[in-house]
Amino acid sequence: MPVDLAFLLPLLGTTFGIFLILALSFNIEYGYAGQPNLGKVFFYSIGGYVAGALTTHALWALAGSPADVPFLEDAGGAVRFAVARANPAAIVGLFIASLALAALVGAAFGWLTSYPALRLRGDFLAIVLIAVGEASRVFVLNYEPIAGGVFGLSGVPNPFAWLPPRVVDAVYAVLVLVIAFGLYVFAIRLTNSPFGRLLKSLRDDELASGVYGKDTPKVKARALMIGSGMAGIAGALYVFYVQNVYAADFIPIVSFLAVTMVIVGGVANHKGTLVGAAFMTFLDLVTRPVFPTFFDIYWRPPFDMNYVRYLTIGVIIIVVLMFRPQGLLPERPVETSALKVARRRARPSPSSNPEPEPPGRG
Amino acid sequence: MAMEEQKPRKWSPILIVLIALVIVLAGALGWALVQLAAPAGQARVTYTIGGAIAVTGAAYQTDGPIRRDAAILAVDQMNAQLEAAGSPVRFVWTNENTAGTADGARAAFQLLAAAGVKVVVGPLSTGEVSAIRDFVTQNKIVSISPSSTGVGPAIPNDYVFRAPPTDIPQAKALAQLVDDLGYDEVAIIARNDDYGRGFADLFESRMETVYSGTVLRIMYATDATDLATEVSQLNANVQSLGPGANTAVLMVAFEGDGLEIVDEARLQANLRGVRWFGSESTRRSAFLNESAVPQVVQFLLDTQFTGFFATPPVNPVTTAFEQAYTAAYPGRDPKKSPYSYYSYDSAWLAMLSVLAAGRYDGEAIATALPGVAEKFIGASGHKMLDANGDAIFADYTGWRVVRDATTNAPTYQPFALWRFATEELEFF
Repeated sequence: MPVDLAFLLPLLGTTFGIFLILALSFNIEYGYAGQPNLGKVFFYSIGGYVAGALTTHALWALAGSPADVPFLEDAGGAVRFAVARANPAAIVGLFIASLALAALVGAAFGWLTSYPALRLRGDFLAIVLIAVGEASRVFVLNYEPIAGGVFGLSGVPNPFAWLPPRVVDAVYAVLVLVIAFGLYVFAIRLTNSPFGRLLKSLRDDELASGVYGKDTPKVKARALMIGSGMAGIAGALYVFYVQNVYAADFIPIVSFLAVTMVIVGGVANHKGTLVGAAFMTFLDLVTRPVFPTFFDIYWRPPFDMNYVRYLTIGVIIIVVLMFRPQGLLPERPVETSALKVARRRARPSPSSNPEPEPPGRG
Repeated sequence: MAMEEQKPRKWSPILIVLIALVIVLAGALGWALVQLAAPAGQARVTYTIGGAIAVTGAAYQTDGPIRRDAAILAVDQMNAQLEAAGSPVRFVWTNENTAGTADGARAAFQLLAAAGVKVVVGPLSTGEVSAIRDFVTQNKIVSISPSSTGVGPAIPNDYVFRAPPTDIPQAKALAQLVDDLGYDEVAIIARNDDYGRGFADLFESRMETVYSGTVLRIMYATDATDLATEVSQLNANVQSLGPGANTAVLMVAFEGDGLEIVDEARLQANLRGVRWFGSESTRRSAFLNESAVPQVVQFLLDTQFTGFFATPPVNPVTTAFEQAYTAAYPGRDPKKSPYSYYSYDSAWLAMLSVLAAGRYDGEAIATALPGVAEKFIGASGHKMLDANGDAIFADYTGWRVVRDATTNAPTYQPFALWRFATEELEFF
């Protein structure tokens, strides 16, 4: 049975795009600003909850809030899908509003998070943020008004739900990739700007940065706001892709996945993050038991491939990091305009003068 | 002295052409061999039956593999029959582990869809079914769940089919049994998910409205590993109901969480002194593993742990399945997972529907399936479906944990039957 590219490519494209945004946001916070935000899933989930709550309630209102259908159950989801298909402008508008609101609310929570970040560093900050992510998941799981509690919110329709079924996912994948690419360019420009160098100074020596008159708490807050806003966007995109919200989906492994992408790809290098996200997306696919069937290979080993999958992924990551501890693409000097000019001036000289040392690491 | 510049090795055009020729000839030879292997006019037709059965995770790490292997057995049996009949059709099986989570179920179905799979046995739980319902319906992929019983996904005109009936008859049967045995005050401890909440709601409503009973309940987080606090609250609820002869406990749990509850409950005096009932999901082999959890087994024996399961007590297909399972997997017993009977039937329904549809197309399979199910009596009984695509009925066998008279091993002993048609309870 041949592989169905109409399913596979949108799946890979969407997954990669969402992973990339999440990993970029972690790279800005950790790779550049030195803030190990291991509670990444918390901000990701905020985006999901915002998008889910806004979209489901708005569509429910458009449906006239039918009293005979339970809002939280699958039947309620079916009603919302029907409304979305009948009102393309409404669902597209809700999607755009959800993305904007997810970014804003995510950024606001990122700003709040900067308060513990002022007092805690390194491992302690990471542990606090992991705990925040877990606590919020348990809270949302037990408090229905936010995201339906244990029932979740079904019926968060894809913004292109009104298109033919086979086209919906493909169009959405393209949109996610465009948004991811836009945020990739944004991340590069941000970290190559004076603000990016300020972030690196904070990472390399916060005390020295403060001595030079930099307002380090404010810089940390901004970095966390930007990263958290991006994670919020990723969460909203995820929810519109899977078309429902379950608090139980937002578990710490999501944060660690983003960390792995950045570390495998190369810390403080957005190209590395891109490679890391692509690598992990690919690795996830090729270790799936269903993968050989894409090539008409139906091998039934004496053990279940599902059991060796996680082991295989772990071994591959360990091997990569053993031989490339700096990541697949290590950190490089900042590409400032001054550096480009210096390079240009150095290049024509035939006397093979060595390239001038870039002006510091930051 | 300047080093002599090494010339890059050039590939001779003749060599390139020769290599290309060898590749083409090898391909042609391979193709010819494949054609020769297939009988003339009998080109092999292969259909994939996807599996989305959890084999990891606290809820399914013991039960999941037993259910998966039952489905694989069905595929092997069907292939043997097709081969004996000279049919060119064969079925192949591929399983994606869902880990029992909504996220895992969605990923599994997306990948199976990418592999071109049009009919899937799974997922197992109601939460997973809800998570994939929109996806399978939009993309016309048939999902046959062997064990989802929650009321939420009971919706017409979707691509989700379920081999067991919903929890409604089971809740009726259990409430009736609890009342018949003389208990009118029940403390429930249930999973805080759509299955646990749904079942607890149905049971509570039935107990209070039909039998004028009193029900108190505790819901617990499904991923919690320590349930000491919740079990203490349950103990307090039993205390407030009065731990007398008319008070009982109902546990709505899966595997890991159920073991944890019982392990904590044995330390509480009130809970040791009352009768315990369980949902059908608690009838698992892991609960009676005396070498691994002797204290749990003893507690269940002491409290006469009792429940129902939607399965006919005697059925020739059931016996044949049990024998075939033991023959295919020596040393293993399908009775350890009652839902293995349902996954076996689900796989048969999937394959028969593909054959009835005459083509591997989700829409055609979904159209054929209700008709096939109507005529199908499997290891778990008659599979006629209702308008929502769920098994329309089942009689429920009551079980209780006792020591087997001959082997002295703990076992789930059948002792009653609740008939769906008449809603009557018979004791053996």
